[in-house]
Amino acid sequence: MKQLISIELYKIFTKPRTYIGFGAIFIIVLAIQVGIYIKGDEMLQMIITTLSDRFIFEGKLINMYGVSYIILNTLWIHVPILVALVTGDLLAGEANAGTYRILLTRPISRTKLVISKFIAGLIYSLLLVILMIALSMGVGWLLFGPGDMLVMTTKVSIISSDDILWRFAGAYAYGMLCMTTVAGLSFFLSSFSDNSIGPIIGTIALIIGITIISTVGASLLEPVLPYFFTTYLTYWQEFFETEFTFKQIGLAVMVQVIYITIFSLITLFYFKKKDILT
Amino acid sequence: MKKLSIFILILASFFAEAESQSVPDELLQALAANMEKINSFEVEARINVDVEFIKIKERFVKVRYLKPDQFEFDAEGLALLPRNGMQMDYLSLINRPYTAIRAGEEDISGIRTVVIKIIPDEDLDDIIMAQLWIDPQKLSVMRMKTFTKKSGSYLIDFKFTNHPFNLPDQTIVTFDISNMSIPAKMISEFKGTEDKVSDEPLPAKVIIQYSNYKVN
Repeated sequence: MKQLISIELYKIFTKPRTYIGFGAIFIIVLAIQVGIYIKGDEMLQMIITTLSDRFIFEGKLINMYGVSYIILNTLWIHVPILVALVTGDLLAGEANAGTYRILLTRPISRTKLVISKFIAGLIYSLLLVILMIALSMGVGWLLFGPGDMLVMTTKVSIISSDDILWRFAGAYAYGMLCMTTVAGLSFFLSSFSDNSIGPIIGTIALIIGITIISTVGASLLEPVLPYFFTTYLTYWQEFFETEFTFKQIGLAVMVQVIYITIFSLITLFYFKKKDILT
Repeated sequence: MKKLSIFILILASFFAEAESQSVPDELLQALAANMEKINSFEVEARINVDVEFIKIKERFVKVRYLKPDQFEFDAEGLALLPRNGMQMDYLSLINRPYTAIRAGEEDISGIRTVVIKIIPDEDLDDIIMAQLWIDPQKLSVMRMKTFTKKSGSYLIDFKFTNHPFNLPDQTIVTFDISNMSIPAKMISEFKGTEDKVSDEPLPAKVIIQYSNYKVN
């Protein structure tokens, strides 16, 4: 199994498209950090202008945690696209290249092949998130240093610096879980397709489409919204609530796990029965 | 006889008016003289913000005062301070030209205080008018209400123990935030799409506890 996973990882990392994701994250994160480093004060003044009529903010408002939070907010829209770019190609790519038949004549079960491909895809997805964490926190520490974090959602929260790291750990861990769902979806679509464009575009279209429909027609779709995994993609923000309890995130985690299981099982079931024609 | 009565009445009202004008000035000058003894001080402040939509734990701030009315704050981490109320705002008023009017007497915590309204003669940064409740015995400001151009009014309650320079041990700043507009994303929990926090008066309270005064 280990060998299968390393072969799949080798395949992933020899394709140029794999590096688009890493390159995009590298450029976006650095661009945000440099932008905030240069114009952060002005940007922040705009955000806190209403509060500063009544209050004085004393201390360092811009720091590595605040900037990492902004990066998280910005990138959770883009990371699923970058994940789908690779995971959507995992099975469909073989069909597209005409390597399915050769591959499946080898003495390995289809189950093992599907699992190893999915794990390899997951490793890629997690590496994307890890790069994001490393850049956000590492470069953030060099440029801005640590400090208390100002979070403005439905309320204004100021979180002490000694109370932040576990929140980021939780948010990133939950983010990784969400990316696993996205990887599962694109992998699932990939098993049905003979061309990788379909699963990649399909995954992006589904995520963006459901999110837009859920936002625009929130009142219409209210009864079904709790059943969409996209509803919970932004739940990492819960970790930055001052009165956070793990109960709050429990349902979101459960929904993501259910979707991952469903996508994986259908993919596995379908691929085992799949008639290989390409 | 009638003419004499009228003259006496006019004279009496003139002296009464003069006395009512001199009392606030005397009190305020005595207050200023009391603070004049202090060149600078440094104090540790514990700040608790009690606002419905602001979540912040107790913060520690080092406050430095420099005569006549300069204040500096040095926070441990990120602190939220009330825009008015921490700088003994009456100092900036009485150290500049002003007009003071006596507005009666009131009891605060069993202490008979003299109420004085102060209107700055020159255009100060933000304060239009202030009302002081002064303990004439100890020459300390027990309460202050400031009316500002930008951010409404602030009620500041001072609590004292027995500090030799009559510096406060606790300050409670109360102000209304219902008119405060907040970023779009923050509105949803309060009032749909309106850009105000609340239609009803929404009080914000900041409690500042002072300790370890170092007076020079």
